[in-house]
Amino acid sequence: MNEYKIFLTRVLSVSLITAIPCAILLALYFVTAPRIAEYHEIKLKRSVLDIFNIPYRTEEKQFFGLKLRKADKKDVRNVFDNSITVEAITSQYNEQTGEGEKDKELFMYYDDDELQGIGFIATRLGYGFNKAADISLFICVGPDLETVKGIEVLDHAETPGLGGRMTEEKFKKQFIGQKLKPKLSIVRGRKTIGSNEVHAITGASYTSKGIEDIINEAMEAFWQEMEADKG
Amino acid sequence: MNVLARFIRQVSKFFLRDNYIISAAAGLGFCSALAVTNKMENSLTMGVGVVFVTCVSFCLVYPFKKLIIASGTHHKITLLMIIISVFVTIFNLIAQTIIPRIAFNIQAYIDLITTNCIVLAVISEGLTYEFWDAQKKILKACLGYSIALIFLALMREPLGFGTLMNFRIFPESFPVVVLMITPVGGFFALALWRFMLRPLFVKTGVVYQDSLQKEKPADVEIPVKTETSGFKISRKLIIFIAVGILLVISLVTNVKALSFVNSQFVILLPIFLSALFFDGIVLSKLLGICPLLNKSRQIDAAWRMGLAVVIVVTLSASLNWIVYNKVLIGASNYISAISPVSIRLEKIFYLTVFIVTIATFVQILGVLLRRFAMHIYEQMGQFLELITVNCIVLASSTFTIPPGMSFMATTVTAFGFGLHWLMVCVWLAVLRRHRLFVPLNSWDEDSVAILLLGIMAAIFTGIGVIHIF
Repeated sequence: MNEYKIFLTRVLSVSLITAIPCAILLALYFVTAPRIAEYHEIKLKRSVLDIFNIPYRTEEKQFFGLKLRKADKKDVRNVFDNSITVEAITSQYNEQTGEGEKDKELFMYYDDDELQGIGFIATRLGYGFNKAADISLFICVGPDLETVKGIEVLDHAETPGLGGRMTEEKFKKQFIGQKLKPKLSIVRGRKTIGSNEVHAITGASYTSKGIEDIINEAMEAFWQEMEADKG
Repeated sequence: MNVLARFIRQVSKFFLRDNYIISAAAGLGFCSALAVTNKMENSLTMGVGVVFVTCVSFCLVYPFKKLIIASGTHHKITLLMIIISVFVTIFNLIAQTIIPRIAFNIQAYIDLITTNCIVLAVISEGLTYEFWDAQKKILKACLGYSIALIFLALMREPLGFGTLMNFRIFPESFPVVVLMITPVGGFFALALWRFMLRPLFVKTGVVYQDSLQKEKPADVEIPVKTETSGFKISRKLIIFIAVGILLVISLVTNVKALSFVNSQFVILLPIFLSALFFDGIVLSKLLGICPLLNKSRQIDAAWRMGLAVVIVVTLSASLNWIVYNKVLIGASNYISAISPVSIRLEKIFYLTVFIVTIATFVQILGVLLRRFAMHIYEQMGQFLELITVNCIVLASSTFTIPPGMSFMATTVTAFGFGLHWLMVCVWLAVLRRHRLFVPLNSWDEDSVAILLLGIMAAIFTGIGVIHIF
């Protein structure tokens, strides 16, 4: 009997004491959740706009002699809504990863009723150096479906300084204008030949290989979907 | 001038004597100190987080101090951990709204403030003092921790990126030491700081010179070595088991007849291997270092603690997966359907729920062991109680479950992490036993251990970079 009493008082005391901060936490969540969601939305939209080279308004602030560029959120949203059409397609069950992929979103950019480019997000588990985390790439191709307009790394968990350098402009810039058919390859130790080779990240051949595989597989799936869409 | 010098000396004494990371004999809180310090902004955020969480949760806990002290150790730890985890989530939300870019870089490590040893140690120590004295002690410990982080970042960011707070301080052509920003560099930077600062501290009187008090007991231990070397399994048996496992693995991966098992293995084996070797929790993610340093003084204790960790990590991670994916997500779906605004419980309370699950699980495991296997409990009992505080138990849940990994993948990763910890712990214990360098005091002993860890990490990262699959 006594033991139960002790047990009950313990459980009660724990739940009573934690009730106060939990209430604060809930309240805080309601305040912060929209802002966090907004941050992600703006980040995605900005990277889409950057890749298609669509201008949007940015504010420049002088801060201790350093220029800070800050995007105008409203303008980003407006420009995005005006120029980019988002189309959702359902892709088929992926047997390799054992998971059915969710609805895929295609970001299409029309300028004067002419298709300028199509972009989509490819997220894969276990392709980088860190096998237990996703790498999320935004791949964007031109209207011929094989010339790269640009890639952007949205999310990754690679080692900073090695694999994490894939977010650097220098690495991402070299993809622009490359051809993805028949296959993109990332080379290291020699000069790039032809239009479907790019340089690997120094010291991170594992991550580079992962990115290469993600792009190739995602493009393969993408082309199949486009075929199915047409037919 | 004299006054200023004295003032500086007093301030540095206040913060640097018994600083848990740089100068204390028994170090605490290494995990996050190594993991986030490759950029100054990360270290500042982390320091602010630790100070905030500790002070606020102490204020909440203090009125209930009689109740908490009266209850047992395990109950106390659980209660404190739950409260701390709630405040950590609060800090996480605030950080994500104010400084989203930094917060998303180190979000995983902000979550792990919960199991930061310093927070728990300081709060439970502070409960025995008066309120303001305790707050002073807390501020001393936490600000000392922040200062240590800033020291580390001061070394790592300029050398690694050539920048400080994202301002370029070295010219573009300056040769960048990539090693310094990798996890390996963390170990080296910390060991270097400890070796460099020690003579300075002793000279200025910040730390007292403690002499060779630890030599004698260490000498007595050495003859016992052959008898207490842990397991009675012969070497042949181990080799047989290893070869057998390798055979089974190669059969399963190559025989395509069992397509289901085969396809599962193709996914799970790289995950397991990378958790065990290339991307291990200690050498690459830099967690679980404090218990590692303390438990690797004897080989025997290293084995036992390691086994306890393997068991608890694997089972609690799978349990957490079930709780998270079935209970939490189910509940939040249900609530969101009823209420006008959507409440995603799994984004708010996941830390608290993980802590509760782990604590309950460890408690139940302790009771079961006491009833059915008393001798195992006697061997592992004291380690089991402390495991709730171990960062790797929480980390193996928070790293795998919220990103949405499948059940098998979570379990396999957790098992790999546990085995990795066991391996590193035993390995370090063996290395320390050999005494490549005879340290004069416990402080240098820890520094040497950190240096050894750094070398191990370098070896393993090197393996990981070579393309195997």
